[in-house]
Order: sequence, then structure tokens, then C-alpha cells
Amino acid sequence: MENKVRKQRSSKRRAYRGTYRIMAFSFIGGVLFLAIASIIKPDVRFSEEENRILAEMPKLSKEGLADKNYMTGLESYTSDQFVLRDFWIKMKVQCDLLLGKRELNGVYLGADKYLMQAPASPDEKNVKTNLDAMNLFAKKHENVKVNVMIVPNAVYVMEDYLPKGAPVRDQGKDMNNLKKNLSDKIGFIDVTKTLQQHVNEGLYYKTDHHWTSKAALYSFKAAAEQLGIENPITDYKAYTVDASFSGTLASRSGYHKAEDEIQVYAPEGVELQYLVSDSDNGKKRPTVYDRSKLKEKDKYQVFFGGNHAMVDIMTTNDTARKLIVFKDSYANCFVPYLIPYYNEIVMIDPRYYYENVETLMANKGITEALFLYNLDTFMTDNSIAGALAVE
Amino acid sequence: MIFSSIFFIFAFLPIVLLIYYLMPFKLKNLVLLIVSLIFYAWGEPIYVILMIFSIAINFVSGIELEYLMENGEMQKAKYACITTVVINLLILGFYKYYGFLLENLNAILPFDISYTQLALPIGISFYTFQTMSYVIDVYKGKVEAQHNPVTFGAYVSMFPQLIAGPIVRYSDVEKQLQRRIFSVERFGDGVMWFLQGLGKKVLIANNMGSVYESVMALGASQTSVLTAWIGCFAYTMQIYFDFGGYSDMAIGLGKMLGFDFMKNFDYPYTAKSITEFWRRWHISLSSWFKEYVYIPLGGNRGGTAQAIRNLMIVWGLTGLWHGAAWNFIFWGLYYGIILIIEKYILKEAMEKLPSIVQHIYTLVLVMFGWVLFCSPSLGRAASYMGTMLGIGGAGFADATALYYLKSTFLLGTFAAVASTPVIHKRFSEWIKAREVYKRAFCIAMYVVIFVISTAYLVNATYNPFLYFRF
Repeated sequence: MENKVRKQRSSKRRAYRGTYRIMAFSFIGGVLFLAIASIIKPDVRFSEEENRILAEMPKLSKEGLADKNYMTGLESYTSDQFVLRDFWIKMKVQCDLLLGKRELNGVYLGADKYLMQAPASPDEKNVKTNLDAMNLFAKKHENVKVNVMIVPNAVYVMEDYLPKGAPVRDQGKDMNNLKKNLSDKIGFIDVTKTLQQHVNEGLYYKTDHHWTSKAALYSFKAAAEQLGIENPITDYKAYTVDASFSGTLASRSGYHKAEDEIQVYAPEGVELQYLVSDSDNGKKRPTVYDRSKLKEKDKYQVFFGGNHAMVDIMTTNDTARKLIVFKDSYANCFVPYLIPYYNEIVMIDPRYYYENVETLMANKGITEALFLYNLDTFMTDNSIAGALAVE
Repeated sequence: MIFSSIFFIFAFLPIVLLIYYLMPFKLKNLVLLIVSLIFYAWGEPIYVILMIFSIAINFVSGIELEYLMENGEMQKAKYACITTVVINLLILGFYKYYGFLLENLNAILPFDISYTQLALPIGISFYTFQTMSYVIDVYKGKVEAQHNPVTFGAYVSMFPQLIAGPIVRYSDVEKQLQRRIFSVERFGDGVMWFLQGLGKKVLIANNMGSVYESVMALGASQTSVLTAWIGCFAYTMQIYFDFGGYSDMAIGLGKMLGFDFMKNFDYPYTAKSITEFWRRWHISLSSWFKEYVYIPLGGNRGGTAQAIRNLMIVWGLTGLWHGAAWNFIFWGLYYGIILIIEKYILKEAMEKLPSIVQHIYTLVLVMFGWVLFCSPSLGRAASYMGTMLGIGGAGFADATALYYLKSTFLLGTFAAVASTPVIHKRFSEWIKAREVYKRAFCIAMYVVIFVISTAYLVNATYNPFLYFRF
């Protein structure tokens, strides 16, 4: 009897020692397997899924060791080049969703698989500096008509699509503040109400932080009067140029279950003649679209081939109006609608433009100016004042 | 370098273990010393010199004390011991409190003293306390002085507990530094501790932390009472699983290397009083203060008034240890006052209350304590507490509160349950159970924790260690 108990006890002891042994070996095995697999696996330069360049093996140097760049570089390298990186990211996102999270890395997952970026909290001082610079700009150029069009983002316009109660910045308040702080020499174009009337029509890409050509067209029609455009063309036809767009928000959140169509709108029955060139590509071409970008990851770049320091559009239109647009990427799908009404349109991206704006305006004989931004970028921008403040 | 990173788990750790196990025992401490210095230099290439300096001073001081005491020069030994402790405190004071001190001096003085606050060397609060305990213990004759600089260096710099504790006392590992047992089972035990800690840190603490940060980013006008409590709860869970997870990982790594460290947490949120809470929270720190400050000050032997004075000193210092800012000092004093009240007034009355009331009483006080602890300023702490009590917030509950409730409910509930012993108790039964399926289940759970933690680490966008600041 006693013997039996002892036997049982020792078999139990043996059993759980076995468990500990299994733990030890499976941990060592798992770690070594993943580590060796990561070493063998060839390095990937660019992650399509995340839309970013992955870290490379850092070079060993004295300076790198002293300022820790080597160490942080090595840590990013191991993490970026870890085996099956995309698989791990998907798993993490799945777990987050299972736990009931609806915010993934600063991106809300809304109704209808809509991804919406949470606006960043702005640096109030920068905003004020920019507004002051814009007011001064309008004052300095009395004979140039200045308009400002700030487009609120999806989280505000499509508020009902957000997870219920999700805490986001009140962009309505921001819009009012901007309106209040711009001088009366500047025309303020607020398309919020227009967009809100078409909330369910796909105003923003589901997977990208940009607005669509459709939203831009509605906004153009609403803004035409303020822009001084009489009898704007209203007949447009939509062409779907891509049906498998997965934008920056999909990359940022790791949520890849939705895809977008990219549409472009062309006026019906109107023949336009114009030539486009930009600071990165001096060659003049007769289109605002860059089809080659549809083969790349960031297909929104189909408009003008992405952001450039300067884009110049020369037309054969019979008018003396010449427009300068200070803008972010939201303008890229909006400006095409302006082409029929101007002799020349110059687009400046203050984030990349370092030349003298005054000289440019004088040389071109600019008659009108438009600031066109999305609200989130505008509130966090730190380049407008700098670009305008050149003596 | 932090434990919860791809680099540590898949590069540093396997290389270290490989070298460590290949070396004969005589060289293992040397390997440990070297890799620990590399580990430290990884994040603090300059301050590793400070640590080596600290090791050297305390090592020499230990031998000196022994020599003096053997020759019966007790008076000299006393001065030598005090000198070393003062040097340790000066180093700590200079790097951690200098800026804070001058900032406050400047506020009272009619003129300004200019200063530049140096970056805080990681882990300095932990290793300074370890070396001080060593010197004092040598002086008190509790331990013999260590004559091998490598062994002593390995003790001070040992990477598992180097940057966030537990504060391992020399007396606890003295024997293990000379002799330790290695076995696959022990290693497996260490793996379980490590994975448990990794899961606590990566899966619970980080996720709760992002909820807390999100709530803190809201304006007061957007924060309802419920939101404020959810934010406070999230921080309460974050700090426990963060620090507790780190301690578990340290214990696990220690076991992989053949060491046994004392446990640092014992389900603190199950305490029925604040007195009990502090017996269960950061045990190695509170026992350090008890042994090296409270008792030398006379403890409670000199009557009530003296005991109260001593308690306030100890808790003021405990607060200050956590950081050079007033809110930490107030946080410490807050606990000092509560502990005194419990000790002299509430003690018997409390024991008669139903235990659920005692639990709620403790948790509420602890949660308010964390608000004081985590707030960037006293004013912010006061306004946040006000919101929790319904003053100046956005009503009792709003859609935002429900959003937070929905997105944290599952994990929050799990965290709350996991902060009690129920899960762990069942687990430790099952891991030793005779039924194969029970043991298999445990192993599978550890694998799941490892895999999901890896997934979160590959995505690491939010992976701070709260106790790095101390």
C-alpha cells in the first residue's frame, strides 16, 4: 500500500518534471528556430503591407556606438527583418479586434470597414504663426484675391461611421477658430455642410486618409461662386482607373480587409488644352494623371504623380486669371477641376518649396491665391509661415 | 535594452545563454559580469562607467570594513561604512535629485542658480540600494566581504534585475554566487516565469497603458466620471502588470542562469488594508526601507510619537525614491499617513468590517494613490481626482465612457481576475497534475502567450517601462 503511494508520487513527480523539460526545450527550440529563420531569410527592403522602408543592418562605427545609433539601429533591424513579419502584424490586429479594440495605431475602424485617422493634437503656436502669415500675405497683396479652403477630415464629416463615442478632436470647433482668426480680406470656404449632405456616397477612401475625386467635385461646385467662377461645368463623367487601392490607413492600422476604387472625373463635351510640368519633372505633358503610379503602392499619386515642391499648369484658356495654390495632397484631386477657368495654375507645396514665393508670384503675374488643405494637416503644419515669410 | 523586445528575446538572450552554458562554472560569473555590462552599456554607453565606479568603491569598501573590524577598530569601521553610504547617496542624489533640489532652491532664493539636469542613469536607484545594503550588511557582520571583484561585479550588475529590480540583497544571493544548481527543469521553470511576465507586460500592461494614455489626452470637459474611473483603473492595471511582469521576467531569467530571486509582488490588489498592500507591493523595496531606514531610526521602540516620525520619514523617502518630483513625495506621505491611521486608529474597527468592504476601501485608496503618482503635476492630480468624484467633469457617463468600457471590458476583466491568485493557483495545480491533458493545456497556454506576445512585439508601437524612470 505504502509502496503504491510512493510509486504514484514519484510518477507524478516525474510527470511534472517532464512538463518543465518540455517547456525548456520548446522555448529554446522556438527562439532558435525563429532567430535562425530570420537570419537565413533574405532582407526585405520595402514592406508593401506597411508602406515603408524597413531597417537595414546598421554599420558598426565608433560614433554609432557612442550615440547609441548602432544599438537602436540593430534593434529596429531585428524587429523589421523578423521572419514572417506580415503574419505577426495580422495576428496582432486580429487579437486587438477580438479584444474589442476599434482603434488601431491611431486609426479608427468604423462602420462599413471605413478606416479613419484620428486627427493629431495641433501645436497651437504653429497654427497661429501660419494664420498670422496668411493674414499678412493677404494684406501685402491687395490686388490678389485670396481664398482659403480647409477640408475637414473623415472623422468629422462622417462622424456617424465612427465607433460610437470614440474620442476625437472636435474639428467643427477648429474650423470656427480658423474662420475667426483669418482677416476679412481672405475668403473662407467651408465645404463641411456640402460634404455632410453626401456622407454615404464615398467621400473619403476607406483605406486612405485622402478624400475622393467625388468629394472634391462636390466641393468644387460649392466653392465655385466664392472662387469667382461663373457657370462652372457641371457635366462630369466618372472613370474608374483602379479597383484595388489599399492606402496609407490600411498600412498604418494593419487592417487590410477593405479595398478602394480610384475614380477620376472628366468634363463631358469640353476639350481642354493644357501642359503640366513640375519641379521634379520638367517635361511638359498634356495630363494631370500619372498612370504609372497605379502600379505602385500609393495609388493616390495618380494625381500629378504625388506631391511636388511646385507644379505648373499652363493652359490655352482665353482668360488672364492666374492662380497660385498653397496646398497639401488634398489639392491634388481638386485642382484638375479648376483648369478650365485659368490661364495658369501654380501649385506650391510649402513643405518642399524653398524658393522665394514673392518673386515667383511677380514673375508669373499671379492674380489669385488659394490655400487648400485638409484640416488635420493644416493644424499640424509648420511650413506655411516659412514659405510665405520670405522678404 | 528591455526584455520585452524582439532583439532581447531572439538575439541577446540566446547568445548569452549559449556562452554562459558553454563556459565552465569558474568562468560563469565572469561571463555574467561581461554580458551584464554590455546589456547596460547598450542603453547607457557612458553611464556604464559610473556603474563600474560604483562597483569598485563598494567592493573596496567591503574589504576595508572587514579589515578594520578584524583589527577591532570599530569606530573607524563605522566611519568607513558611513562614508561609503554617503558616497552612494551622493551619486544617486547628484544624478537623480540635483535638478529637483536646485529647482526648489531657486523658487525660494532671491537669486537663480543655473544648472543642467543630467539624464537619469537607468537603474541607478536599484543598484545603489543593492550596494548600500551590501556595505551595511558587511559592517553589521551579516555577510562576509566579497574578495573577488568579478563575483561582486556580477552581483551588482546582474542583468536580469539590473534596471528594474527586484532589489536583490547580497545576503540573499551570497551562496548562489559561489555555487548554483543547473538543471533542465529549473530552466523550464525559468521559462514559465519569463513567459508569464512577458505576457503580463506585453499583452496586459501595454494595452491597458494605451487606454490610460488615451483618457489622459482628453480634456477635462470631455471626461465623465465613468471615463475617469476607467482611466484610473487602466493605470492601476498597467502599473501592476508592467512592474509585476518585469519582476516575473527577472525571476525567470534568474532561474535560467541558476539564481533564485525573492518574489517582488504577492497579489497586492487582493489586500484588505493599506498595511497589507505594502506587504504585497514591491516587497524588495519596502523591506529594504524597513530594514535600512525604519529599524535603524529606532522603529517603534521609542514610543508612539517616535514611531510616527519614523514612519513619515520612511514614506517620504519611499515617495522620493520613485522620482524627483513633489507628487511622488506626496504620494509617499499619503501612504505614510494612511498607514499611521490604520496602525493606531482603524486597526480593530477595520477587522470587524465585512471583507468586501475592506477590499473596496483598500482598492479605492490605492487607485487615488495612483492618480497622485502618475499625474504630471499636483494640480493635474487634484483636477483628475475631482473628475472622479464628479466635480467639473462631463456628467456621470457619456458615449465616450461607453466606448472605453466596450473596448477595454474583456481585457480589463481578465486583468482584474489575473491580479488575484485564482488563475495562477489553478495553473500551478495543473502543471503538476497527473492528467496529461491538464499539463498539455498549461504548455499550450504558454506557447500561446509566447506567440501572441511576439506578434505584439513585432508591432511594438507602445512599449514603455514605467519603472525605467526610477
